[in-house]
Amino acid sequence: MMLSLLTVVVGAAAHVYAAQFNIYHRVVQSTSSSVPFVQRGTLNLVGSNANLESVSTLSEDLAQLTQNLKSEDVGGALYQVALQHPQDFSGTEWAVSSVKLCHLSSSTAQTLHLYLSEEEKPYAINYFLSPVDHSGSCPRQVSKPEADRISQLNTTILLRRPSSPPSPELRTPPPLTPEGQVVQPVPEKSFFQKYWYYIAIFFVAIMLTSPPPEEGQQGGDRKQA
Amino acid sequence: MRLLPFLLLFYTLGCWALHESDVGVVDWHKELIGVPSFASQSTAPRFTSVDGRNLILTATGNNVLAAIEEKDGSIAWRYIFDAEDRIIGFYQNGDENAVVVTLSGPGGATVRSIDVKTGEVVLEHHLHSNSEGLLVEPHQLGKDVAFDKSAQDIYSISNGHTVTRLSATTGEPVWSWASQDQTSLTVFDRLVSTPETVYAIGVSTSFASLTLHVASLSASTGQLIQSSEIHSSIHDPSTDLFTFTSAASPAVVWLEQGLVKYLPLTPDLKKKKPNTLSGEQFTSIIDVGLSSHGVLVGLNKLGSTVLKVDDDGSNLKAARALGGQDATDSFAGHAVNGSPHLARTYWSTKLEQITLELGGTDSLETTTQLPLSTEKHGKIAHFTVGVSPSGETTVFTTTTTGSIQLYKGSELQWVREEALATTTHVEFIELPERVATEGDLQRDESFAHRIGRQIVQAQDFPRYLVNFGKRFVTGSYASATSSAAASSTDGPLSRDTFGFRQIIVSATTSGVVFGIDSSNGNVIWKRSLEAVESAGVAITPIKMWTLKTVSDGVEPEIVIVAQRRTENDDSTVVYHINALNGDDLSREAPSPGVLESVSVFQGLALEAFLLDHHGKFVVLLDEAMKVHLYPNNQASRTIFSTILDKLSFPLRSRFSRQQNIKGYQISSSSDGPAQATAYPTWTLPLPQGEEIQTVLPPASRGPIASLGKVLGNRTTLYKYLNPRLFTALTVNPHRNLCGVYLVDSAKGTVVYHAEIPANHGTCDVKAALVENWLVYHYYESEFVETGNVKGTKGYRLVTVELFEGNGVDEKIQSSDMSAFVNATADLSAYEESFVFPHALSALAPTTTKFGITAKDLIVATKNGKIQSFPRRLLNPRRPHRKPTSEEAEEGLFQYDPVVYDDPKRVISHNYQVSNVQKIVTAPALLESTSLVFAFGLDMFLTRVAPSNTFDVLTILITRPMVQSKRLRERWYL
Repeated sequence: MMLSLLTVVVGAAAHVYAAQFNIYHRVVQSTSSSVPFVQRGTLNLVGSNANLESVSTLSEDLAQLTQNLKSEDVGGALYQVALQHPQDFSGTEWAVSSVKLCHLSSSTAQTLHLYLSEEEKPYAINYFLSPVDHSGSCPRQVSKPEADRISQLNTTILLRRPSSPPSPELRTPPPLTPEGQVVQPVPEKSFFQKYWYYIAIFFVAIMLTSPPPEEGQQGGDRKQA
Repeated sequence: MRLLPFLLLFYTLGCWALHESDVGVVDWHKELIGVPSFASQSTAPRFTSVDGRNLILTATGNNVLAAIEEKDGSIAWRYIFDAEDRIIGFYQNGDENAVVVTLSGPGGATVRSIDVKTGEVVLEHHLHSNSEGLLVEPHQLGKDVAFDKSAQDIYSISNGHTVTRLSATTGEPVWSWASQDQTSLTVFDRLVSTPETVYAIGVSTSFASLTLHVASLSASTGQLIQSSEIHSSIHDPSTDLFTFTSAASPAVVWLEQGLVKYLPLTPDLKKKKPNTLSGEQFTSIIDVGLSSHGVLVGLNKLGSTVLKVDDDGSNLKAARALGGQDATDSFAGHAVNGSPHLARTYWSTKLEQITLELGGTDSLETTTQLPLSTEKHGKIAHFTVGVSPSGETTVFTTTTTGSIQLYKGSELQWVREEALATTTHVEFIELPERVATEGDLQRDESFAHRIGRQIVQAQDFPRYLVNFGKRFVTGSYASATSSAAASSTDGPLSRDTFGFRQIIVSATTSGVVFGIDSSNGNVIWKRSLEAVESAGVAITPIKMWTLKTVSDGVEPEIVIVAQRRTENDDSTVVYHINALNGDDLSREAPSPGVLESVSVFQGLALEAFLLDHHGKFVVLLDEAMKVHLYPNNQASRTIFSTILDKLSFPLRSRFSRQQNIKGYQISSSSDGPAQATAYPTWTLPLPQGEEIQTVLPPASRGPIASLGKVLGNRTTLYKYLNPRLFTALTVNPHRNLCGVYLVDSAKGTVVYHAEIPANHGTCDVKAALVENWLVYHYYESEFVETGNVKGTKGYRLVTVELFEGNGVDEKIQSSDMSAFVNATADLSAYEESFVFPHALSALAPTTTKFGITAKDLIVATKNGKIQSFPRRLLNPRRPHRKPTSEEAEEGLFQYDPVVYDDPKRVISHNYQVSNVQKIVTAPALLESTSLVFAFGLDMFLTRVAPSNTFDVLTILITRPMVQSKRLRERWYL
């Protein structure tokens, strides 16, 4: 068994779930009848960590799968990857994802999207190869993929979980008294209540700093008296 | 410049409301009741009279009880039952009683008494809860209502085993009796009452067939007097068992192996051996509404015969023969001054008209011809006859095309097209421009011809002169708020200035297709599908598309894909129709009558879709996944062969353990497109226990005006515009969850998956996807706490916008990106949730010609209103705090968790638009304006301008500002 590159993903799971799942693959043509799947590897899922262990005969298997394929048919052929259903061995209920076989020849990486249920069990997969042209068209020179290429791909596994829409952010309700009445806010003080001491200080200061009566004026008053 | 967003906000949120002067001008509303249900006498139409008003009462297939005015066909009132409260029957204690009693719900759960004059519910009593109702088929089995003639009290059978007497004044039960055998072995189905005794009549399951079972109860106490099994063999109690409800001689009649059996009922049920009508055998017996007079009609191969009880009530005898028996014959009964009269309608091959024969039980009295256009309306499916004391006959007919009509004597009084209430698919069809008169100009026109032509043209000159003068003096040109209805002098069907006048083609489950004028709701043309002509054939439209528009230089064409079901086989058929006049385009020389179908293949279609690629044609897939094209000509085959490898579509399928969605592609074949088949490329199984409720097809992709959203800080969020996205709505009863999926149909990539709580294991999620905007509505049945704030139960509206990449300025060109590129899953979803004030029955975003105008969300609430919500209000990027200047510049305003129930957003005025099933929006020629059409039971159409009518003179100029201000103030008084 050969260990492909492991990549991780999403945050920590609430509990660690560990299980193994079989991944299968095959090459199909639109015109051919149903071709049986061949095991491609084992998917190990431990909590939020996942890795794909490919079977040791992966390259030989791919060569076998493409053996009867003519070069001119490579453009229309699909490379399918399937996740085995735990209770189904016939393949009818397996999750299947397809890529174009022609992309396998020029790809350097593969990405596996693993859709997890609430119990952290994978129920569906989606498989991508990269790089792939923006239009998804096959290269001009289409040929059968080299058997070794598939085992040299960098692997990324992404775990996908359903989300929940955010709840409406309701306003905080007003605080209640033990009797269930809304706590009445303390009435706001008036301007004078708030600042009366500043005002008082201001007046006192004015009084204290006011200039003493002039001497000449006092003398004049006396004269009049 | 900084004030611009606030100004925009003011105009968008503050000013929009429907002005009273626009009501009936920019919108129309058609109240409908549905096609009468006439399979049972308890739901069939009948005449009644209250306070001198003659009404027709009927229950309909749309679960409505309605009273129609006999004089003009208007709806006097209608009572709309809830979907889970299916009407079983309506009953009247005499033709002129002021109340009508209804029985409805599972097992006959609810009894209501409704005022015939006003339609108001006088009393209501629940005999049992809906969950306790036994579901049986036919659903009317085991439920009946009878009356106490003196006290007017109501007797009812519910669930096939419980008889209850309800007080006519309080609605409370006086007594209730339940049979000891409450299993399914004995089902009481009919009630007959006399002043002293109530008879519950039903059937018991025996070894070989069903046996008659009668129980007699004391009318005053409800105590069982006697219960008796009558030796008999009844095949189907719903068609073979009848009761005579005459108080003097109650009796039970049934058909047993072709023989008519008659058993008078006495409280002690001593007589157990029925009398047999000797001499004739019958294939069926029908109740024509004269059972209280002891009259039925027997049918056999030789014809039809009146069966009448003796004067002393001891026996049943055959009275006069009504005539030959034909599939198109129909019978009705009516009592004239207490004397039973029978009527029969048939197609007279000699006169080529429908003929009505009316007479007593012993002789034929009158013969009348009904001028029914069978080409347009089909044949008579059911009729009710009334005879006035002066001898004038009134005939109320329901035709095979769902049209209801009233004849006085032989004159047609009015017609209502109730098949419109069964509309399932609609298409808006743009009309051609008015043909210029110069179009008649011919190069080699002679002088005399030219003079003649110009004289003909000159007759329009006065009208032109008047209009010119009016425009010159008043400056009144066509306005976006003026009526689009054509005037009588406008000539052939043509569009108005702004394209508000279009044809709405409506396909119904009643086997009829209508062309409706969108400016006023009038039916322009109506065509019957072949199903209405052939007994035992049912046609169900499954898809409808516009195949050609006026832009193609021809008259617009539509194509309808339908399932044709007969007793022996199913097939998929296509109807190809001229949308302007309903002409059949599938044949060189079409027949003038019903539309003839084109059979595409035997069996049902798994999928059908329209391909629009250098010409439009329909692709259908049969059960063997073989591809069929329509029209199947060289051009469509050539185009199809060039693009078939790019086609993909999803289908739902179910295996033993779990459901899944499969994606298919179409394989090319060396034998040509005729041999092309589809093969699965991806499978998306759902989590254990999850079931698919609906797969909504990819939204029809209108023009997209902008690929991104420029933010206040001059960065851009690029819209995720994957054209292959479809929506799947699921339910997981075990986990009490609903699922909302957005999936790429070519690869099976799930780009959005949300789980929301179900409501006791059921999901009623309404969703719409347009461009990068997904909006869905559901009922939150759980408290979800956020921080210190407790959650609340109620309706939620979730709005999601998908953008490319993980942030601003990340561009992947998703609109033309292949599904096989890893980056298709590289997107970010902005979502927000709001508390919504109403339950919804449908929602849809507006559509405009170029997609520049903002998209409003149009919703149909379950309380009969159509409302419009601005998209700005539902922007998921609204900040949860005071917006910054950059956000304000962008037009964002602070998040509010509640979408307020603003009456100004109601665009349906004060109409009660009931039971809307779907909303369809269509562009007009004006970019600013979208047509909104809601249908279900009622039909409603209006225009909305989400960004105001920026492309014409605004209403603010044409309407005094002071008047608008006062109106705005009055909304909030």
